[in-house]
Amino acid sequence: MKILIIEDQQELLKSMVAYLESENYICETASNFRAARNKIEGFDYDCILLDVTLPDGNGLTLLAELKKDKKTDGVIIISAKDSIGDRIHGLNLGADDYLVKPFHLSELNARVAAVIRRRRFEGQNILVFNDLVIDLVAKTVCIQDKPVDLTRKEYELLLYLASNKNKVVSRMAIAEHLSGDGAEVFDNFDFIYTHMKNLKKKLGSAGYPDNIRSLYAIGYKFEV
Amino acid sequence: MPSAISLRYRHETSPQNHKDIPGLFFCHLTDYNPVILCSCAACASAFGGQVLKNPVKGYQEQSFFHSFKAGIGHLVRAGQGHSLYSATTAAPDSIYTGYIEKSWHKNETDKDPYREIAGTISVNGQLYKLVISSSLVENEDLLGSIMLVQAILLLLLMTGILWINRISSKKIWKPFYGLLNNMQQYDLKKNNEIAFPETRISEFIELNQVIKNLLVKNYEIYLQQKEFTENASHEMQTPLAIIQGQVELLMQTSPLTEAQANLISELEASNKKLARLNKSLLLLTRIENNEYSPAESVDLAGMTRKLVDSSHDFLDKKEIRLTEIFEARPQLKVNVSLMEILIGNLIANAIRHNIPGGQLRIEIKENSIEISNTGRQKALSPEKIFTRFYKESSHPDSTGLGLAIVKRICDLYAFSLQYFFKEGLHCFRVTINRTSA
Repeated sequence: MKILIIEDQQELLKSMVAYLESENYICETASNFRAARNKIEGFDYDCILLDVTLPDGNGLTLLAELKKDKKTDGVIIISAKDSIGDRIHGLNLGADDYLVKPFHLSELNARVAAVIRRRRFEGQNILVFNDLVIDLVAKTVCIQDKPVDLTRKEYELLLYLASNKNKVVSRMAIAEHLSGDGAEVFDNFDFIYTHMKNLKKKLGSAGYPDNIRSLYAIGYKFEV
Repeated sequence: MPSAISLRYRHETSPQNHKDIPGLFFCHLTDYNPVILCSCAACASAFGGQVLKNPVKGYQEQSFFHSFKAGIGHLVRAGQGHSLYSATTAAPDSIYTGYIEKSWHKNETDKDPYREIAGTISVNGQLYKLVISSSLVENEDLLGSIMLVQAILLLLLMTGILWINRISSKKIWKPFYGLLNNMQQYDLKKNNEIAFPETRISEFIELNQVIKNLLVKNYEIYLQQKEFTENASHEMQTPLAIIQGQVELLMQTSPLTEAQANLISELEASNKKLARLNKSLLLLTRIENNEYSPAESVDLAGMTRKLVDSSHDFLDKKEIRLTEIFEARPQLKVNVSLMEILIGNLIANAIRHNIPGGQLRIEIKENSIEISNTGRQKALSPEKIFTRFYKESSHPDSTGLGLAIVKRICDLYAFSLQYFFKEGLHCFRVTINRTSA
């Protein structure tokens, strides 16, 4: 799956590429408006990560052109502006998602995966990890075809870890993901333990092996 | 004054209680009151003195007599009676006090005193006897009247001076007070134009100029500072995002020891805090730059409920008892983002500084929202808590900007923000100004 990353800050670009390539995406990059336009016109991508402020133009112009050409590439806007107005403006232009800087790479990865899934399978898809099946449309989880009753937070937690499978996901990233966009996040992540404990218990009792590993104080890793 | 004057013609031999005092005729007038004395002196220099010292030879006796009498007549106006007779023998000057019966009051035994001076003068060899009399009754009254008139005059003069002074100073200080009034309405954040009152007074022209320069300079500095904060915050965002990304990539390296993991964890936490701080500073600058102008209709109660719901994890973790009293569902005309930040910050504070097992109370009325919570059993200082970077407690989670942002948003919409400590609860109340929302 091909991803185009449009970002003018080289270091940030590099870290995004590094993380996404480890997820087996093919990443192409463009660090200015002109290069980005050439690539968008010439190729199709599964997902475009679009920085709004580019040295020679506004990313939103690219988005508008993309939509005018009726291209179906998924677009995630990456912006430093975090007000609701900016978000709504971006989404109204046809973006699939809106991510505010600074962001967690695990969050970026989860969103990219979600966008690609939605585009590829037109919203009908499931994630399978051995006996574990996550239905993304019905938002249900089954183990050996038996449904597991998860709360909304537990489901989101599992999906987030599954989207970043075999990666260390920090507790802070999980806390922010669960709290939602723009929510005030506290440094106290104790509430994650509760959700994690319950999730592990439910998966375990449904007969799924405990493959969510806790990594010291940093976070968790979903191993497949 | 002249009303009390009696004009008497007396016989030269008639004076009673006669008391002879030697000396010059006019010298004796010093016994009279100062007004009379003045008049006498004037008369003396105009007529008497001249007559006595330089008698005019060959003057018609009759005509002199008349003009002299007329001269003496001036004394009458000053409050005296006088008489002039032809005399056959020269007698020494005499001054005496006489009494006249009040004939018009039969039962009255009192007599009015008067004082007379009599002397003989020689004009062209002809002797005349001059008698000048003055009533003593009137003296005290006269003194009173004079004092009264003087006092009234003085009073009029003083009021006049004060009045003129007032009018003139009002006129002179008008540009000054105009300027003062205009300056009170000046707001550096808005940089509204100050109208300098026109004036021709050089000091005020100078004052106007100095103030004008001062304002221009101040506004420039203010803009520079604002720009700096905004640029600095903006520039910081990218490196923060980069650090964030690198830290996450570092996490994925293996093998990862526990010591490394702890270091990475702390690095991430500090970076997050820095990012939050930066976001808050940027937000403050944006509010000051009025970048949040479009106002929409906001359902305060709905928004509050949504924000509380998103904090449920934290409420549950601390076992905080939540009480929501929504008496009304006010609709506000404000910017959604700002309103969310305002309410969100207050709720976040109420959770952050709460004690485990404490309570959180949210009360919404038609024109106010009140958020109160348990916490330290000590009132915060209301003057300081809304200033930037003021921290009452060393809570690791607190940036010290939350309440400053709340205050700034309240100021923007002219909401009043109050803090009070009541019945063990820290309470923040935002009173909505309906004219601006």
